Amino acid sequence: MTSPLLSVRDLRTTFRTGAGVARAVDGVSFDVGRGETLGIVGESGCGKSVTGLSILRLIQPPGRIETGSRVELDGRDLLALDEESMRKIRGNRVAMIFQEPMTALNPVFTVGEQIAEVVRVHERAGRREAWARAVAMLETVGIPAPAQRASEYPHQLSGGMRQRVMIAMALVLEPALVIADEPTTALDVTIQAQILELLADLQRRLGSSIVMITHDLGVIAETASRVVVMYAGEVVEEATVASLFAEAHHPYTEGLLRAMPRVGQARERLATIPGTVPPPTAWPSGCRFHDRCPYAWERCVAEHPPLYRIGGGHVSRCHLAEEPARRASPHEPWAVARGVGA
Amino acid sequence: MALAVRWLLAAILSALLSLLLARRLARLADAPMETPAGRAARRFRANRGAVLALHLLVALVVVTVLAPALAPHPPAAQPDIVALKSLPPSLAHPFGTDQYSRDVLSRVLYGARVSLAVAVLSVLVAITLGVAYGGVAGLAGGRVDAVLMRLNDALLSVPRVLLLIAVLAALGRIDIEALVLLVGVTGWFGVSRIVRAEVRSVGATEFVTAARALGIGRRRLLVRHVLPNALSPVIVAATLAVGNVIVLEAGLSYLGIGVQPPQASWGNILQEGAAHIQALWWMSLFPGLAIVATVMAVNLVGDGLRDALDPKQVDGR
Amino acid sequence: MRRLLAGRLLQGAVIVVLVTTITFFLIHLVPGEPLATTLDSPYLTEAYRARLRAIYGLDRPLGEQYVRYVGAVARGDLGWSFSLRRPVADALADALPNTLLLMGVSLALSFALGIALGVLQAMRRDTATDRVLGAVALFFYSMPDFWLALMAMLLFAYWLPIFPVGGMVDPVMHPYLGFWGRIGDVLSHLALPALVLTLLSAAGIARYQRAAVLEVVRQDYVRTARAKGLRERSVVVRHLLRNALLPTITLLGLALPALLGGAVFVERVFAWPGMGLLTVNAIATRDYPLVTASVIVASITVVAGSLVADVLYAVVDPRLRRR
Repeated sequence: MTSPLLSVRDLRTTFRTGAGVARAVDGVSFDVGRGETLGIVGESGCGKSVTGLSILRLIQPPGRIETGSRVELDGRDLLALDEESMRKIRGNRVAMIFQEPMTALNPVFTVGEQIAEVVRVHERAGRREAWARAVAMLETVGIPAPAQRASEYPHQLSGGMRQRVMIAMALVLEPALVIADEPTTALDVTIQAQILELLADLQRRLGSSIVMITHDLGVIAETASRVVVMYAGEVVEEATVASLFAEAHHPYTEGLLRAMPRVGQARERLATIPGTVPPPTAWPSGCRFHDRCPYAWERCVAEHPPLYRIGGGHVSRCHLAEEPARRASPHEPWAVARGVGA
Repeated sequence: MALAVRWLLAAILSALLSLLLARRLARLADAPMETPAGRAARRFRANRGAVLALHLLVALVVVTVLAPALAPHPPAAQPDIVALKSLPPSLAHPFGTDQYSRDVLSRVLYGARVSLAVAVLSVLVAITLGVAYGGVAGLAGGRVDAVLMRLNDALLSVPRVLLLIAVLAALGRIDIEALVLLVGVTGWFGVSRIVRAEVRSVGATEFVTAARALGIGRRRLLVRHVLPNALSPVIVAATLAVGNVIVLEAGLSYLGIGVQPPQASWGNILQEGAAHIQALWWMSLFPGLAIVATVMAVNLVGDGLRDALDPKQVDGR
Repeated sequence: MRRLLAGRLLQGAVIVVLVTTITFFLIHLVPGEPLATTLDSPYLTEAYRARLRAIYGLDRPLGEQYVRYVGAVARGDLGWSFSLRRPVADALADALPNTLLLMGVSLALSFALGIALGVLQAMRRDTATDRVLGAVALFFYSMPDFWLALMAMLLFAYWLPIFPVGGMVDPVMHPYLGFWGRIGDVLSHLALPALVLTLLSAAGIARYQRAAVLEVVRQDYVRTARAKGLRERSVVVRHLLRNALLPTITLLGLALPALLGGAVFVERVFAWPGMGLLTVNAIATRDYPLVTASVIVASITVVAGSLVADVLYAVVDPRLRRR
């Protein structure tokens, strides 16, 4: 097996807030192979976006990436680099696509200028050459009349087009790794499909790897080959997409899958996961999911589960791996008894 | 009772009031149920400058209210126009005496009452007018709103100082009530803009639509539903306006058209001392320091209120 | 763009007319008639007083006086100043350039200083620099302008006689100084009043600019700029500041009336022969033609200022440009 492009080991990112230290990312590890798409899925507050930002070292104080974390790109530890070297990697070898293109693009510069800027900064290109490449990129991402559009401002474009611009900006220098943080969440469903198709197409052409961060399992199903499920700052399950959808192990993943409304299934109420995500300043003891889990027992409160191997590259942070029989006797999650959530 | 004892009692009173205020704030902030007021109180308390300024203002108000008891001499008394006139600061007269042998400290203390009263009262006048005008415009909407706001903006672009100077100079000596009214009447244009914007944004919310669907009339809607939500920027604006009016009144009195002597106000002490600025420098220094200190405190509290009440706070991603 | 301009010009004209009208009626409706200082003179007989009133049209109904006045102004005749015994237009023509000089210098310096300080404070948010500068800005912001003027005069003209006490030129020496000497003379007289106005304005601008920068710093596009691998300086200057300076441009429009108001007090303290001093003296002597004309000029300046600010804003912020 070829070595992975990106290797994240024991990533911990914390934020000092008025209410205490928030351990937003608390020991996350995963690999991303060359040319593959890894999905990171979880609810808001689970730390997936912070993970993405940490890889590019875009965490600003009061947040910090704790020592002991390792983020290796092609064998180089990104966290050990000095700022200037890191800067050369951003936008160039590793690029990021953000969720809300209206606010992520600078309103006072034309979209062409913003794309050309990336080219000018990293490669010693003149203005004309950079502009030409920007226009070419706009065409590549499927924007009609690219030369005209390049001179327009973000507010003059539709949401879908703005996101294409963001993709153009991220991919113009053909980075090896693209981190996509909820790239379609702010878009209409039909546009969503177009954008995902575009990303897949570009990936094929450029051979880039993609880290697809999303809360939408549907997006994962469509784009990723492997998926990491995050909850409360940790990885709770990792598997190939096929395995995950066929047989999810972790009760949280089960809950997520059950909560997806599916066409053709007659149901009276949408299934939800009772309870709420705990605050990052106070992760629960033991297994962090224990009060919302229908299978939890005493061991889950006392003992923080490690990542158990299920087989075939499938891991799960759940004691059910050692006591699978308990899956036969679900109960009402303790959060419901406490009266929290439906 | 000896003067020192009276000042001590005043200090104790002020400390007690500050303590009460702090506890009330703490109780709001730490209440078990989250209310908007509680959240605002918490944010305010986190702002140490604002809290300190608030306590300073409490002390100032106490001293101002108790001025008759705390002033070492009556402010208009001219005990010895030969021996005691124009004395520099000393232990007997910490702020010196003026050319009529009046004790400047006492005049500053009494002047505080006048300056603060004028500021607070005229801001109240302005707020009342502004809320009424802005509220009506905001609720009315459409043409009426447009016309009212154009008029408002036109009035807003008149330099307030010049207008006041013109009118006050023409009227000559006026009493304090008239001064308060005039200052208030020239100062509401900014408030009405804020109120109208707030009324329109709150009015567009769903709970107002729901209320109207229930058949609640316009006036009741304005007073009981819309205004309480729209009030926070008004509170902030009012607080900051008090600071501005203190400075404005000082300026007008300095020109001789504000508060008239022998009644003391910070501004007219400065006016009396300006002609002899080099010789009687204490008359120009101390009232000015008093103004600066007070207005700084008011501004800090106003800023603190704005940060506390403004929902756009960044509490961390 | 042109439509915007035309609309604002019209609005401005309406405002000027409105202000003139209000001032006119206000002045004539308050107690104390125009010409009072002259008319009160005990040396005049009642008949002569009546003649004076007739000459200046003061015995006509108010409405007629107003119409005549508007007509005169439209022709460029601003009336006769009683207190100065010269045409109002002449007095204004002499005073206006002086005020423009003072205001122009103060405006430029205060914006430069205020913006620089505000940005510096915001970039070093919550550090000692921020707190100290913030306290200093608050200190000057809370000060009455005339008091700072008095203190400045005390400090730098009396106790440390660096600058002259007042006026615009040395009353005795000025005509005898060479060209550069005369410029130097004006500058040394300009220093203190300009310093006072600059400090006070800059304090307010710094506060405003700091808030604007902090607002922009939170924006997503700043993060995007970093993610693109731009140098920090590029991020700050190109992306951050370009956006953070926008709201300050609106301040330009507001700064003009503020500076006008401040100029009144400061000109009085330093006896700077500008519009402010002219107006104040005119009011004191009940010289109504002069007062009205001053107020008209003042409101024109204000309207022009906010017009310029609106246009500038439209030019700089592409979101406001109409296609």
